[in-house]
Amino acid sequence: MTDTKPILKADDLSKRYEDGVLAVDHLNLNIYPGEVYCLLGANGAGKTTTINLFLNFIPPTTGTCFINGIDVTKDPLEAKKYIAFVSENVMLYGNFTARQNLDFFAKLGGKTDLAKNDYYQVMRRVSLQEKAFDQRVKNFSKGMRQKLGIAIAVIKDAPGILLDEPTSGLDPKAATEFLEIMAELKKEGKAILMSTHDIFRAKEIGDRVGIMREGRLVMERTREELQHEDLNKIYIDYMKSAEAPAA
Amino acid sequence: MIATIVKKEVLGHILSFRFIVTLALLLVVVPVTTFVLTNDYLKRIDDASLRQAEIETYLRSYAHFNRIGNILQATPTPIPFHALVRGLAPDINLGEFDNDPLPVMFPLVDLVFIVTILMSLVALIFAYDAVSGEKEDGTLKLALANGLARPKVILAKVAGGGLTLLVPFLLSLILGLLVILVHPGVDWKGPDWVALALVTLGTALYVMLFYGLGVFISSRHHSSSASIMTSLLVWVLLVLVVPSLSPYIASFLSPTPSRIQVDREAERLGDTERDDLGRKLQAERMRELVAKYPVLNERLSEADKKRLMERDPAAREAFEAARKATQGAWDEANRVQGEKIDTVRRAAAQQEEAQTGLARTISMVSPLSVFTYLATDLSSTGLRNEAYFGRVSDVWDRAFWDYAQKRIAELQAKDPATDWWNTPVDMSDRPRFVYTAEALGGRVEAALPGFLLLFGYGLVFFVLAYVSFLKYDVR
Amino acid sequence: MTWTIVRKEILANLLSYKFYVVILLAAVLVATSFFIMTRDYKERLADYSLIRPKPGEPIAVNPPNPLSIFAKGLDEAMARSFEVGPTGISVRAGQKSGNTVFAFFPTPDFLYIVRVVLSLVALLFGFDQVSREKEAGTLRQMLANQTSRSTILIGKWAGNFLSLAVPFLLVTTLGIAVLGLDPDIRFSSDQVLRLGLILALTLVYIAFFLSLGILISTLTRRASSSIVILLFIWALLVFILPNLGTLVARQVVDVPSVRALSEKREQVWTREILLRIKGQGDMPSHIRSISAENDALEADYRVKFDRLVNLSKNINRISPVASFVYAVTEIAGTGIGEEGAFKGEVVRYKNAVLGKRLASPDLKSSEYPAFLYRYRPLGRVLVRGALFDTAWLAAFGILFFALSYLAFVRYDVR
Ligand SMILES: Nc1ncnc2c1ncn2[C@@H]1O[C@H](COP(=O)(O)OP(=O)(O)OP(=O)(O)O)[C@@H](O)[C@H]1O
Ligand SMILES: [Mg+2]
Repeated sequence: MTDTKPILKADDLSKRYEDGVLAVDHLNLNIYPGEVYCLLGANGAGKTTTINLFLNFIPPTTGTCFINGIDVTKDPLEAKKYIAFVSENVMLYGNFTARQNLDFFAKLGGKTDLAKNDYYQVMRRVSLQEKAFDQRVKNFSKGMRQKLGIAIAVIKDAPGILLDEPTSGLDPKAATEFLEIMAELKKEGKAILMSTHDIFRAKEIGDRVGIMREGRLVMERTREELQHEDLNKIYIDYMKSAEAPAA
Repeated sequence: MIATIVKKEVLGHILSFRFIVTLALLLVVVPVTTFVLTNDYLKRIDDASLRQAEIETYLRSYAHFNRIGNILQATPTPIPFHALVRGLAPDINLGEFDNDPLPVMFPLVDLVFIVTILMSLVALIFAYDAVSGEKEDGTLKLALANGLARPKVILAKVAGGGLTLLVPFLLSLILGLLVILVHPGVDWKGPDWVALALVTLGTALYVMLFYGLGVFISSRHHSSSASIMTSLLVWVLLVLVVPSLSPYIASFLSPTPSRIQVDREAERLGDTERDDLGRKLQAERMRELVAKYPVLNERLSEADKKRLMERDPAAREAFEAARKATQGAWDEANRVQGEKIDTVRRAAAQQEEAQTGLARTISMVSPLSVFTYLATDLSSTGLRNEAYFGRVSDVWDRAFWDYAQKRIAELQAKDPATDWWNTPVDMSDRPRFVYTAEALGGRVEAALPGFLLLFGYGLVFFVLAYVSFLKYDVR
Repeated sequence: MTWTIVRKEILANLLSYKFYVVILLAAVLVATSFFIMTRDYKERLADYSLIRPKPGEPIAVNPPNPLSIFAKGLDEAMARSFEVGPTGISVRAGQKSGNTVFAFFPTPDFLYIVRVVLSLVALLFGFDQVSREKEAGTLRQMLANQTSRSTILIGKWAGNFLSLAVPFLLVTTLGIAVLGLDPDIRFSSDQVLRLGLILALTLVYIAFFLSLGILISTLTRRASSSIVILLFIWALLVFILPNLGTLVARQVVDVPSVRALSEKREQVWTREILLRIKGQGDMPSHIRSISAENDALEADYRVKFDRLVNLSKNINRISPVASFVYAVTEIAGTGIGEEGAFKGEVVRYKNAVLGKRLASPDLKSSEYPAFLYRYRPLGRVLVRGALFDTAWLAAFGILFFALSYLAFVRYDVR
């Protein structure tokens, strides 16, 4: 895989907030087409910050994010053509129906020539129930909105996908379905960066799994390596060792 | 328990951004307004004494009873309360050639304006999220989960919020009063202070009323953004629209004849119709006299008449009788037509009064109007004062008339042949019009219904808020 | 891309409850105002037909201006009758002076509704534009695409402006069309043009407040603080600054009170008449000196008053709302400038009448010239301030929009 160039690349990435918190500490990441990278870490470890850096929502303190080889701080608009995003808490436009939301964001994503059926297809693909397609999003449950958020990412058909805790709030069945979609997207050759707290699903879907602590990537394992290890134990161990020096 | 919640409410408001902004705004606007109004008041005092001096100078050379009426007129002098409340602006005067159009474009700021517009808006800004906002934050659920009774919560909310609101107002008012007090030219007397205290009480009622309204609206909504929207719409209607529409609605429901039409009618009655009647009466009376004194039938020049009268006492009697008859006929005509004019004018005045009353009643749907009437009446700058001024200037008119009669009688006694109408007279002992505001008792009495109405509105809004809150779904 | 966002904004408005309530309110108010002010205009028209001078009478009366339905301004002062007698001008006002409640509250004309209500409506459209999207996460979602922030901001502005302006224009033009059907109300083509300008100016005004709303929403994190700040700014701009400005100007410029002037006039003519009765001089010379003295009073007052007006205008222009009011009333022909010009015409007419009077041996003439007031041409009105006021208003709108762009570029979207 190393011979192709990465879609998502963090190069010596650091972020120190104005109040002095070092949220990301010299992070290096390369995610290649057809690869799923799962970021684990305790609350406040810096996962969301990393994703925000990729989206150029905040400027990095040092280092660079590249999307498809494009420096996101230099040419953010061009870079964002190659990326889709599912945010942690998708609220969307409450007064719009699912399809209207999808339509709007698809157009922003450059898909201007889609027909009604295309939208329905995508919504079916993320297993949103049929009767919700033309209902207002206001009354959706959190899981339904999450699915719609994924649909928005899927319909853009971008080579890179960033997901911030996409499975939070999904019921077990929906979570399983979500993993299936991820697998399909992976098969289509997307590079996926996904932050999560769900260790088991990370192990299941992730080609690589990284654990962040205080902004640093303290551990990284490939799928093969994890076959023989207990990820849960590793995670807890790493968290413990973080507390140890302090104690 | 309730004290704890009130304290929390007060603290919550005082620490809030909107409290700071309100305080800052009022602390600037109120003293600036009083400063400017005080200077304006002093200027008007100067203007009034200047005018008085001009009149005195004029009288020194031209004090004839002829046409003194339009020079000596009762005019209202500025009162110290003008440093706070302008009331009905005197300069929008359409009856004279000169007018001051600036206040027509932008009505001027005074205390009444600050209370009615600004404080009501502030009250709603403070209240709009009293219930809906706490629901959104989840704190309402928490409070009620801790066994707080709902009536206590709502009571504490209204009391705490309303009281906090008065703090910036009172502080700024004190600052404004300091501005007035350091001005040497403004002399506030006991009744003025009492009136001010009552206006402040009215302000408290007015602000509480709007706070109650805001809490009511807030407890009808589940999101504070919807609540502020409704609050603003209600505010626009109640404060900005209803008062402005009311006189027009009244003029629609209870029309009055145009003043111009009335004037025309009065003119016709007093002019052509009077002439017709006078001529008719004169002819009638002369017919009788001619039968008695044939000499009247002769066409004589004035000179011949004079000569004839000197020679012949009978002719003299005849001419005398004719003169009297003519005079009598015209007096009668004047009287009859005068009564007709009075009737027309009185009817028009009654209709105007009815319309004004109706407009006033309609406008009282809005607490703004209630407060405006209350405050202007208390400070004797409003409608009531207008009527009062009419009464006292009538009294003065009569006094001056009596004085004129007395002086004329004196002149005639001295020399019957004098042309008293056009002789200069020393009028320095004339009764002067000194305007003093109405006694406080009457003003307070007039304001009483306003207080009751404000209190009633407040009570209604509070009860509505209370009932809505008891049924409020806190989830 | 921008168009996609414009369409989304319009759709979002069309789907929201707020939109209908607000638009309905504005529509009802505009319609009510049209209805009431039309009646008021017609009543004054009836008055006019009563006091309208017969041919040869020395009376100056200007018919009420149909544009006063939209911006009443000083039309009532301009539609009085000015009767020129030997001792001066006697003035008669119209109908409304009987009901004192009128004096308490502002006239609810179209200008008032726009100035007060529409500005608030525009703010309500703008205040949560950014924070709402931030809270819903849609701002991030939008920016995760190749959408630039300026596109979003322009799209938002345009979308909301259209959702405000289109229904507003619909309601207003419908109202005007209904007015046009009324046989008593006739607009000349010049007045139609002026009306068009007023509507255009109204749109600029709405744009100004929309920009202000969006600006504050880009500067605040929460909708609730945004609305609080906006309401305070609004109260300052719409009510306090323009009103206080007039009073402050009065502190600086000394202008005799109206009452002092009219007392002076009374003194002048009674004095002259008394002198005449005493047998000093002949009548024409007295008439001449009354007139000259009155003109001197008027000229002196004009100079001082103009200084006051200019100063208060300039102070009030701190608030662009005042600029808007000045521009609209001047364009409608009911503004302070027009009234001044009109007064000047009346004085000139008085002098013409007096000239004629003095030329005839018995100081009476049956054939006085008729008075006809020609409103200042639109071009002059524009040059004399209306254009500046419009530009001033627009400049603030653009400035606010530019500032909101600067703020939005830095806006933390997380
Ligand atoms: N705007 C900010 N200003 C200052 N510090 C911030 C800001 N946002 C986040 N942080 C800090 O940066 C660190 C990383 O936060 P981040 O949101 O990236 O964590 P996370 O891994 O996504 O956590 P979670 O699992 O709870 O979502 C935390 O210590 C947080 O306090
Ligand atoms: Mg996070």
